[in-house]
Amino acid sequence: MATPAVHTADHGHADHDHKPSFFVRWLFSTNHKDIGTLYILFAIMAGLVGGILSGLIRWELAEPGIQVFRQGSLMAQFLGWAIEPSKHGYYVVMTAHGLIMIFFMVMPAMIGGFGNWFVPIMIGAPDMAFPRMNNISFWLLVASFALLVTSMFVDGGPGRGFGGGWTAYAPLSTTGHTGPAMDFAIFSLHLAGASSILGAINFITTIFNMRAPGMTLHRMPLFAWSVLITAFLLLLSLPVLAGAITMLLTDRNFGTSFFNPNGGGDPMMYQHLFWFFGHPEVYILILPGFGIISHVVSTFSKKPVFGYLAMAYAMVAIGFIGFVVWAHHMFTVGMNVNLQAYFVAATMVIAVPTGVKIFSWIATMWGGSIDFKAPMLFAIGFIFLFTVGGVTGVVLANAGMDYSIHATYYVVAHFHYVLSLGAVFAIFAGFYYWFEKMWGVKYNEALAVVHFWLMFVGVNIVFFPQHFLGLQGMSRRIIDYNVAFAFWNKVSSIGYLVTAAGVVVFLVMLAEAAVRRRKAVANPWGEGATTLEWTLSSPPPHHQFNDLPVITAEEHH
Amino acid sequence: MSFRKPDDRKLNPAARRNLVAAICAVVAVAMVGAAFAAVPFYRAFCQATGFDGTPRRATAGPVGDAGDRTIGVRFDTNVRDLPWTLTPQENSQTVRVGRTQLAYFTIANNGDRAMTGRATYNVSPESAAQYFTKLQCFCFSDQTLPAHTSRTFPVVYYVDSRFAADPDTRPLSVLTLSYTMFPAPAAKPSGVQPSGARPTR
Amino acid sequence: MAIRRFRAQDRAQHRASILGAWISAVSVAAMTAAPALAETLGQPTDKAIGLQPSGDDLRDTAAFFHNVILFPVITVISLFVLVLLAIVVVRFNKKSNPVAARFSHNTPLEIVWTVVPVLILTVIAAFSFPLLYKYHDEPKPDLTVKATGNQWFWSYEYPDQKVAEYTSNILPEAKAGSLYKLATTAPLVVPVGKVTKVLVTGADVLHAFFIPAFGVQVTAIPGKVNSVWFKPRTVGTYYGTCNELCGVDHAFMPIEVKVVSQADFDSWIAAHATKPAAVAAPAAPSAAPPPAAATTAAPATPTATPASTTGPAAPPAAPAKA
Repeated sequence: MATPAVHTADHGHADHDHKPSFFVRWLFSTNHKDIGTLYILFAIMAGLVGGILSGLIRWELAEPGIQVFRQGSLMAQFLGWAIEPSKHGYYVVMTAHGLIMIFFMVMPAMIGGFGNWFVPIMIGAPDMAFPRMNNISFWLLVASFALLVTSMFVDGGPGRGFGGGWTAYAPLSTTGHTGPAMDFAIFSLHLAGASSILGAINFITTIFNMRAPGMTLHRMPLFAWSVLITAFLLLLSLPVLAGAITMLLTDRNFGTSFFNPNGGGDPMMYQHLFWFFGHPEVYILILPGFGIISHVVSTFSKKPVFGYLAMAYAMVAIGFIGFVVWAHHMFTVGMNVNLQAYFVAATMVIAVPTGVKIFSWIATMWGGSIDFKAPMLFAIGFIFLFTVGGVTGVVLANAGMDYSIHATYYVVAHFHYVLSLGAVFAIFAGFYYWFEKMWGVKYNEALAVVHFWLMFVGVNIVFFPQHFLGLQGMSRRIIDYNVAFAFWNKVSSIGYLVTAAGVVVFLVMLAEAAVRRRKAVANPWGEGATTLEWTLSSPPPHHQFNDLPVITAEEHH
Repeated sequence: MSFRKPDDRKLNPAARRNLVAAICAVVAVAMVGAAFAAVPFYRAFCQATGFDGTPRRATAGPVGDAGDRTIGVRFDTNVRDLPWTLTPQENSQTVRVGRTQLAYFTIANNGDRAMTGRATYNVSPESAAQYFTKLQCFCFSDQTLPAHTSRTFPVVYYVDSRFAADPDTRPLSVLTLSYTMFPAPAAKPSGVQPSGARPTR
Repeated sequence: MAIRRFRAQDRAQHRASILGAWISAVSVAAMTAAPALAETLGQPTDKAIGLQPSGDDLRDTAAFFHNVILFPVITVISLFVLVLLAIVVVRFNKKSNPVAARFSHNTPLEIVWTVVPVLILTVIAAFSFPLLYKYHDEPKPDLTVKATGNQWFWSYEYPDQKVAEYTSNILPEAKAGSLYKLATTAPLVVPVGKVTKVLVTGADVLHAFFIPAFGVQVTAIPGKVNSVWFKPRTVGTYYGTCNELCGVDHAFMPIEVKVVSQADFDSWIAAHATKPAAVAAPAAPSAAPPPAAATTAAPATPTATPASTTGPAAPPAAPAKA
């Protein structure tokens, strides 16, 4: 990791900082840190909404039978205005949970939030390349979220809202949902996609053009690397989703037959297009997390990142392979067997660069003098849980095995281990790591540690039993199940309560920090924190690096 | 890369930024275009390779020697959203590879008005589709039938003798040719069939 | 296809299966024996933590692949990472190791952790590809049936036996008891020990035909036919579900396969076959009634389920509505 040999102290500038008035600052913000803050607040809000939706799912699935999504239930009384108390309502909630967590929680937190906040600082840039476009990206996302929420309130066909899953497979999303709810969902995804594409262009341009003197790509911190690779994945994959859902839109409204078999279309074409986007998308969700974890592990071990270049190029490899494995989501659609064999092989190859990353993190810790602060706890939790999610991915990659567990709860457990436990733990690791830097106040370490342990125990209770359910053949995306799946579902739902308690502690931690306002220091983590953001005050001045820092030393070679 | 350095210096920072952003924007637009282009490309690819179970079409009969190998050909028929029936004269035939074959299908319109239908078709298992070639088929064009009439159509096809040599298809003893008759898009009655409708057969 | 060469590994698998027999014993015991659950073939078992018992030989190969190869491998890898993390936590915390080392490279080690995963994956692939190709090297079917996924029920047809398409609805809770959401009003009936090929298609949206105990799953696509095959070993009832989200009653369109002896199958066919010269049915829903459900069917299974003994041939029962 590069260390600034000469850094110009910006601390003195704070006095001359002219912050705009409240409305101008937050509504028309062009400052990358302010926009990053907006993204993070937005992600917390969306995460709470998505978390409540998942609570409804676990509540419904706690026991066989339909208890929550029916007339007269407690949910119907309190949330009936928003969520239809019917079977359709369950699928709407499930769909919204997926879309919100992906597009409005993980992506805004990692890319919009931490990416905006720290990529310019880490590369020694005063701001993003296109500050006003940055502002547009954020507000497009807000508009997109508004459209998604609107979609839940308008007619979908079978009932209020769209309940066809986040994948929105045709024909359930065309002839199966005749109401406007699906159209709203499509527009919502269009705007979210436009927001992310603009963001990706901004990041690529910033990283290519605005690095401080001496900050070569091979000296660039791994988080900046991860965001750069993510930006390329966004740029190449999201337009394909935009195209695919536009075709859905015209199939629905203008009589085209891209995916309608009677007009010469093919529903499988949608799945190919969707997963050409969808598979890179899951790496978009996790790659910035990889970057965050590298920083946290290095900082708290007081050691440079082990195998910096291998770490960077492992991410490049993962990003590249991510584009050539999409049909492993489609082993059961009746694909040519040789093609399935190819996708099996290509998919398993991903395990190699992922293994390099896992072992390099452990090697970074090896020999270190580790301080187990909250960010480090989340990072270690991430490494183990991501490993578990990764190895079940290897199981699923085998098409012959996949026939027995495809689209079962085994898959649900797998992708929640890598996302709900992987990406989200990485987000929390980053959140605590940069807490003082972003908010200018200290968090309460004890509360953060309690938050970690509740989350860690909770999510494992939620998702580990889902492997068992999947192996026994429980389908994903069902509102109700046979009584033989009762026990582990009950356990899983109890785990939700533990996780929810963890989230409550997180909110208490936020409130406590906001009330106590303990003054932050520039670098709370000591010698291990070597990237440029720790050379600035906490919070950094409104405009940093008016004089560009010059990077010379490098410790990784 | 060093050879780019001189160029880079010619551009002022803002221009260089705009250039990178413009390239990115072009890439994004190109990917949208690629998504749309993928549809006809996919269709052409399927027809060329038999991917997705798409059988081939030809105007001339099989070339080369007919093999000794025989294979079962099963006919599967479906009708959606039409008061029609589509019935093969035989459920299955045993054919020799490399020999032209003939099968008859009867389409009956049991409705009270003339209607136009269009048949989609595929061959399962998918690996066999590339060797299944049709010379004549009612599925090559839309079929309009007056009310309460039926018509019998010949389907002329052959299974390429390479079927017997390909390790993917060699173990197979039977392949299935499936037809699904839909209302032709222009003739489609308004709206879609209400969900929960029973099969029309 | 070069991948085809993995077929040669078929034999290697047999050798490995002998070698792996004891691992199998250990891991299968670990996976299932702990709570000593009595698992019923063909259906899920409460509190069970592994794959459902296998109902045919190919699924046995898949279960072997999971229980003896994949599951131990991923468990060992996960535990290995856990142990490394534990060592790091114990040995390299700031109290036991106040001064951090500064190394950031170890080329031999990096080569090892790149090459060893490749080797592990090669071993997995050596079992995975033969399994995949076995699924696709379909033997000559003894019986071909047609399954159509509808919103929200399955319908079955025996084209060669002249059993016209009949509807298989979910069996109401009052009749199904503990098999509710698995049992149906009219199961798919197939003979034991014979290769049954199921042609699968969708009538309206995507569905998926999924029977865990046979390890078969395929998407039901409108306008296209897919197929799966299985060869049940023992008489019994095997349950599955629709496994592709298809609308509000997706969870309520189960699949029930009744495996009976050849004699019972023949008599079932005799009772349900229609005259070959069936009249072309008009489109109206009052078309040819489906054959009686299970009343006249041979209730031959030793483990007679509620589904097989109930149901006075309901007329083409409407699908369960929301």
